[in-house]
Amino acid sequence: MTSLQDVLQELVATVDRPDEVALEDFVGRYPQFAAELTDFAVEWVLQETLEEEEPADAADASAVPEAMAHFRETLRETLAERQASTADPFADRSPAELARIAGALSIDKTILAKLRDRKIVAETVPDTLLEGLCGELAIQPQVMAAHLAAPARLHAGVSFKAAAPPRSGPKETFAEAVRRSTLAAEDKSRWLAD
Amino acid sequence: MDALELVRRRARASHAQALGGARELPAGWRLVEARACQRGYDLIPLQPDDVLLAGAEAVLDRGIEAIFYNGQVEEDAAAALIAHELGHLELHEGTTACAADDVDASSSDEPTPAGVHRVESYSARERQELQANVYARELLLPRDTTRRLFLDEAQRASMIASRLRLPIDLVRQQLCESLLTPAPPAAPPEATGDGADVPASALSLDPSQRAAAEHTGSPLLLEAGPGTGKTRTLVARIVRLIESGVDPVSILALTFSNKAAREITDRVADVLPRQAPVIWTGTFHSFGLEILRKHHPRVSAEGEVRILDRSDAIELLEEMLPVLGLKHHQNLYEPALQLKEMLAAISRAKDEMTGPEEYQTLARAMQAAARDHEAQERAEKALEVAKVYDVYQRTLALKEAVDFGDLIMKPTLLLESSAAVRDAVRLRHRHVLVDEYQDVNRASARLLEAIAGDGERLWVVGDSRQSIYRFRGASGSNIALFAEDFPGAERMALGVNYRSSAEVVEALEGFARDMSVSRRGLPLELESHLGPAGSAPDLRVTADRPTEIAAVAARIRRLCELGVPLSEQAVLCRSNARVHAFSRGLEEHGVPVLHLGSLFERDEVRDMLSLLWLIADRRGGALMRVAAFESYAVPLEDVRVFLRAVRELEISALEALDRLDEIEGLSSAGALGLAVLARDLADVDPRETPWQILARYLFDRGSYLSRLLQSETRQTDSRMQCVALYQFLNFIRHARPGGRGYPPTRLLNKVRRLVLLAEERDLRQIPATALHLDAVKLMTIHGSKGLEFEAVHLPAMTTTGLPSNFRPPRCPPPAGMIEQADDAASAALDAEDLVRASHDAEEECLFFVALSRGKTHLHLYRSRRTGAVRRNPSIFLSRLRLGKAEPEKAEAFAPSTDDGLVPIVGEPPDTRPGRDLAAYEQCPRRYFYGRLFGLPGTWRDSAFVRTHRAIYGVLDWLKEQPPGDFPAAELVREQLDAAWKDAGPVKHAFEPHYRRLADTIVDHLIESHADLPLEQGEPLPIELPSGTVTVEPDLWAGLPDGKILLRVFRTGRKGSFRADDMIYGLYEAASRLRYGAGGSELEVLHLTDRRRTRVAMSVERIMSRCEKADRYLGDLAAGRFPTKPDQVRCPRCPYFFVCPTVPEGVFELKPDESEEAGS
Repeated sequence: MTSLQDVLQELVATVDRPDEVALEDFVGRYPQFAAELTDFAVEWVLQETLEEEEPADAADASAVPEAMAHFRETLRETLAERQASTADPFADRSPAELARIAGALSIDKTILAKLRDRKIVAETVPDTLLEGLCGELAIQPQVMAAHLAAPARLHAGVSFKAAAPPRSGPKETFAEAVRRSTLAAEDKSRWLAD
Repeated sequence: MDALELVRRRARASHAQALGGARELPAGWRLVEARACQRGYDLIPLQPDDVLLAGAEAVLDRGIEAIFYNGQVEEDAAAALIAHELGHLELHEGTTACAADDVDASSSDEPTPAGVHRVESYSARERQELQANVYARELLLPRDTTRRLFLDEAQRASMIASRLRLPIDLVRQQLCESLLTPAPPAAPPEATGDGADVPASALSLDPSQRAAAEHTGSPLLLEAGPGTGKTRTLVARIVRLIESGVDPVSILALTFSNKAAREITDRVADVLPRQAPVIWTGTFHSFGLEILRKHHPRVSAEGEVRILDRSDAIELLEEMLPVLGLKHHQNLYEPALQLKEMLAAISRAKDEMTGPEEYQTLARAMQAAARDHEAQERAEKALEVAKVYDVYQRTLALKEAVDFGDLIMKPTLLLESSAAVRDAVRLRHRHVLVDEYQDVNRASARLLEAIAGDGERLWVVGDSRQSIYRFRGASGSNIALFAEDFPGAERMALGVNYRSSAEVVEALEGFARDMSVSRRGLPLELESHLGPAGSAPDLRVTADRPTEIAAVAARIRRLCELGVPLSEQAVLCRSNARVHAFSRGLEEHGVPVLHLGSLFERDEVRDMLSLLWLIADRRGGALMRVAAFESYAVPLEDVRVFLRAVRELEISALEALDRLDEIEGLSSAGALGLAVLARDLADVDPRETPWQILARYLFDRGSYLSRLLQSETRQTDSRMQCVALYQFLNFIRHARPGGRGYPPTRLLNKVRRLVLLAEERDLRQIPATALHLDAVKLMTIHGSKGLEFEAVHLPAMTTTGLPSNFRPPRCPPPAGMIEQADDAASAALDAEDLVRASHDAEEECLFFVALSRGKTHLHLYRSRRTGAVRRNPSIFLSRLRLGKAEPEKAEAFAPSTDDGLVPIVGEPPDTRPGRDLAAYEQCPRRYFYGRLFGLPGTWRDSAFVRTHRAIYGVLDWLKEQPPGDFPAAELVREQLDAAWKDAGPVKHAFEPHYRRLADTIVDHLIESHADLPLEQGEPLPIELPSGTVTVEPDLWAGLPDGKILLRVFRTGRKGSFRADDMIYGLYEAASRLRYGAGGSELEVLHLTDRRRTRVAMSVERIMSRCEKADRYLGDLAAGRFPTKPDQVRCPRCPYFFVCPTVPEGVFELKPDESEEAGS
């Protein structure tokens, strides 16, 4: 299956600058990535063309290489994030299955949701939980590690208001997630002791 | 079925399931808990800063079947939060995260149609939030339960909220919805236009519709005549795009009304519920706002854009007006009216993408080319508008605000100047559809060009014959220009009319043939799907207006007998005034009508406004109306006693209500009524919002609403009262008036301003929830756009009725601003001629729109006379083949008259000052309130009026000066200093400017009287049969020829002043009686421009003025105080909110107490 990374790289390689025709073509061929392709293309033209439209005085001229570097950084970040999202180990798991996994691992839905949405600092997650998760989800540890290391994401499928661009927001430690969870006191103590 | 009614039905079903057969309604929390449990969802409270909430108040997470919510809110608010998320669960797809402003189960079902709300709150996402809010309220407290609790169990809002542990505002809003709006129809309501009921399936298309919906490869202009399924085809186009693999997020559907946008969203959702919410459907203005929010840092540093409506803009400008030094557009007495005209010109400039600099350039060019005085004056006027335009835009920029015109012009300029933003917008919105393309003006056409690029994926639909918004720059010629704007464009037409009978379609085609817009479009050739109905359009000619109304009433009844329900009949008029006249006339004939009229002039709304006034104003003038509420029934004399006590005790009216036992002289009925009022207003706080105050009053306190609901026999009139209250509450819920004073005071000022500027017209729209009431719909032709009726009645088909007379704009556009039309015939027209040609074309379109609303019955009417004036038939009639209507049995009623009788006891004064009669003449009702009753009024005088008050202070002092030389200039100026401190606009932002104006006027006074010896004067009497009147000039002076000069001062400009009013007839009569014919000269001196007007009336005219004065004396003695409605004076009247109410009881004349306390 083609990953988003492949698709975005194909777009970058195919066009000097995305336009409606190219984008429509890509979205038609990869409808599963329609939103990501559109966001990426919009971000691309905004970054690139705004730099061109900046007034060319000395101060601004010196800022251009920096801005281009920022753009490329953004591009890489975007690619990294998208790549991670394509390898989402929680994707296509039914609510019932996730509830079962939470029960089997003695965590609650809040902790599971935070792991799914990459809202917990990867390094703070106990190994026992990581192993349990990989076992339950039948995935390799590095897939889970890559997932947790990626930037936190908003809730899948959430469409925020245009006036408020989505923010990935901070992550929290596993201990914090446990303290804020709905687990029973003894379960909390057990996880915090680990 | 209305989409929101479907939402409510699903909520009620969920409510029933959550109840599980229990009879007792549980607390809100228990209910949502049960429902979440039934759906297998966990309710998980979190800290507000939890990363899972990410700033939201609640999150519906379908992936793990949980609702996360802010665990720190109270139980009642939590229930509303969860209910809202359950709404998303039941109604929508995907995970939702709702911020605090999304979750408001107390928000109204129907956004108010006025002000900035015309632009905001209509995106697909916000519509989803509205649906979730409606669902939440209905789940927690279904409407029928709410009605039962209030009406059968006499439970009030706070009791219900406390018992069911629900937010009080939620309960009040649900009471508002369930008590004030009619129950929904049992069967689906009538289709609202567009032949929506045929064919049956949403995707069933005829060949012309299908070809248009499936078109690809080039820009398409679809010409859609009336009833041909325009919206159906547009919706089908969207569905086909999505079904062919187009990303729904890339579809942009632009409309010209929120209603149209809503209809498109709802109809797409019927077919594709998952995709519909992500399609961008909205008005051009909403889309412009979004571009500004996203991409215009100068306007929107924080993503927030403050939008001003017309009345806000005028408030911003009016105090500056004197500083601008205008000559032609200077109406300082009522600057708002002048500014309204200038802002209309500015708005028109923005429609044409003309900025202030370009406007000034065009005006200068006019000045350079001017060859005569008139042309020079036109140029000067245009330059003044340019000046105001410039100041206005600078002020908007300072306030970081935009107006409606900016919402199109600014984003268009941005897109045209920034390739980055333009490309980003084009990438995001790759498939653009436009509804009602004939309503596109130059600015929106350019916006569209910027968005759609070469237009390969552009699809527009319109009908140039229905172009009825030319006054805001819309032009059907944009349809003709489509192929030029988008080369390679194709043009198609829909061919089947699904709405009207063959007879109506034939009439449409016949009229369309000679319409001026038809010259540039495809000919109208429609096949009637319904075929012949056996009822041809006809014309009924009557003798006069009353018989015309009677004929319409008789025909309505006749059609009812033939099975056409009232709700399927409409009377369409050209103007609001005519709608109002027919509404009153039909009601007098016993025909139920669905017509709100001017919201703020309705009795029940004025009741509410008076309550607010009573709460916010210390002096209690509003008691005049509130006392007359059925719940209080305080006699008139007790109102006087109470207000006197307020004055003497120097306390506020609200405080006086708490100290009724200290007030002596109240009757037992008065004391009882006031005690009930005191109880109803206990703990009221003027710092609360008007909505909070009135929602508590109606749904928690008092019996105003329960009386209205119970006393009514559910006749249309009383149901309309409820609908009007609903509309009003909805308006104040969203209104955010600025200015000084308590929130109620600010609202009252806003209301006056809206009425003065006629900006309240949008509030006359009947809320959608009441459209199914069984009553004849009365509306303007503009308001009927998009609707359809089994029977349409078109009265007033006379020369002045339709087409209406052309009135040139007071601030016409500068030459060259409006792009020349494309045809040779109009290419050589100047600016005013273009406006006139546009008017004529619009009148044709209006008639076409009116004709095309009818399905089967189309009846036209005209009267031969209006009063004594003969009326010729409309020129449009000769262009139709009309049958002659058989006269129905019709009986004309004499129009009801308003005598305004107030029972008066006591001896009227022997002598009355002439100025009293002048005040009576201006408005007898106001005279009663102010001069006779001494009712405290409310009106914040403008700085300009206060300036003139100070000058009148000087003139009053002057009258008291002894005979001899005119007082020394220094002395007069000292008097101005004193009067200024007393009455002038001290500490006003522009005080120095106003003071300079006052100094100039006083200098004129001094200069005009140098060397003029003052004579001793005294009031001059005139004996009339009904009593004696006295007049008193402002100054008596001896003239060299021995005559006496009687001078009357006016502080303003002469303008269009004519010295033949009644009062000058009285001056003439009195001076002739005193000094003999030729013994005196009467002169009016306007101090601002020092223009003198010699008054010289013929004896006949003097006699007629005296007869009028005598008649007024008789009316005064008889207690006749009718209202004298006036569009400008009424909203400025101190008694606007109480008028015309006078409580029961007699009025005892006590001249010593009377004063115009409100002036």
